[in-house]
Amino acid sequence: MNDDYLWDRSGEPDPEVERLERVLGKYRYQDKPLSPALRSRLSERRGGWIRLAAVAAAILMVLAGLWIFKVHNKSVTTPIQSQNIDRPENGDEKRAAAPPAKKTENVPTVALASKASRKIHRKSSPETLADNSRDGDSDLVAERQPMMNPFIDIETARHIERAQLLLRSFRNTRDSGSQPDPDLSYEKQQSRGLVYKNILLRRDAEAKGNMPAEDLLGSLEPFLLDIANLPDRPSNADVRSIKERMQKKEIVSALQIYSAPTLSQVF
Amino acid sequence: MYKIESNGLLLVARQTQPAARARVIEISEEALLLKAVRHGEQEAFAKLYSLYAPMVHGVLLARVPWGEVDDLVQDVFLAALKKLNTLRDDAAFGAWLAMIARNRAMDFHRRKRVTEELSDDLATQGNSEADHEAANVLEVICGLPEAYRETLVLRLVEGMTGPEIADRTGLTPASVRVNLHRGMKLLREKLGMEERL
Repeated sequence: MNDDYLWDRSGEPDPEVERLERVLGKYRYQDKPLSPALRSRLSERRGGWIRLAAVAAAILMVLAGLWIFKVHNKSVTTPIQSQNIDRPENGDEKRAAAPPAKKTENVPTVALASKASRKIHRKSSPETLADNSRDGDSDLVAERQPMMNPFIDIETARHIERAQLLLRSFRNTRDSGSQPDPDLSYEKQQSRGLVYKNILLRRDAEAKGNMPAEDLLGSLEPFLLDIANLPDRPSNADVRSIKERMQKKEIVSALQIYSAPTLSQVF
Repeated sequence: MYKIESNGLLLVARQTQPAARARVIEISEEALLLKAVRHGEQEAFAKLYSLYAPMVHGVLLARVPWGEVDDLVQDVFLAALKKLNTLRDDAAFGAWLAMIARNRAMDFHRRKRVTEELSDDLATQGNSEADHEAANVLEVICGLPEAYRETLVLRLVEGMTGPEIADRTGLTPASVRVNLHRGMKLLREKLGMEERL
């Protein structure tokens, strides 16, 4: 006999199979609602997912909070170590700016700070320059800009621009005549902030193998150090000697050349 | 009959028979249902339950007394739900569930031996002649070798077709067809013998 009916109920019905189906039909599965045990198990499963998701979200939030706190701390509260910087002797400026004993402990801080502080100043006018220098990066806008110049990034360009303004201001101070010695406390204060920033940026450039930026910042550093370490009321001779060296090295022009292309593209 | 198609990236083999196409769609639907069940969706579980409960019922009925089957069906699904994370291939869900049902039936007999011996036909007792005949036929089927027993119960009791049995239990259609054919032959012989007796 053909088994098609037994296989898939196609073809001619097999009376014997039909009879057995009818007889055994009473044992057939009857739809029943899910038992309470199954329902509660499903609820547990759903609850488990929700609990798991909540725990994961909480862990993520804590980690994110810690990370933000860490980054914020690194960028804002890095101590200014200008008091550790002695006035350099001629020809020994670089060593004075980064003394060997301090260098090893500064390296990780510098690396982290330089990464964290790649932010852009919205305002860099001379009026705000003093505030910016004093507060470090606390009022910086957390925003990244693409590098416009292959050697000078925007952060370095901003720094160079500030240094340039400081040097111009210093160049314009009186250094002769019978009047009392000039008050350079404001320039000194700015210079201290810029020295530290300069060290960070120079080391960053050095780590990246950015020779032009490293050279430029390296030649700027002695002038910042000299100004930072002047007495509050320096003698005319002290001021004049720095001015002469500035003129000889043409540092203001060099700063202008390097910072101008990058900043012109930013604005 | 297979038709080879290319969509530019993949060569796709499609079986042109309608039954096979339906099976492909169903497998993907099961995978979706299982995914939803893993997330604790009751509706998806209810759908999966209604799809597979007859198969589980049949597998159990071939091994344990009818009166115990309903409770055991729920037990099997409960166990499956607990172990769902251990299922690696969603397409093998049917075979996996059938295996849980078979194991659960074995557990049932193991425990029964420890506690007390129950009469197998206790629950199948009825007053009418039809009930008596049904109990008899079921008893004969349950006396057949395991492979035939299960397939015959799924076909004759649960009313599933051969392709459905293959699909739900994970057996190959050829195996199901052979089991049905040989099982039916044996059943006819045994019922004929009984009739003569």
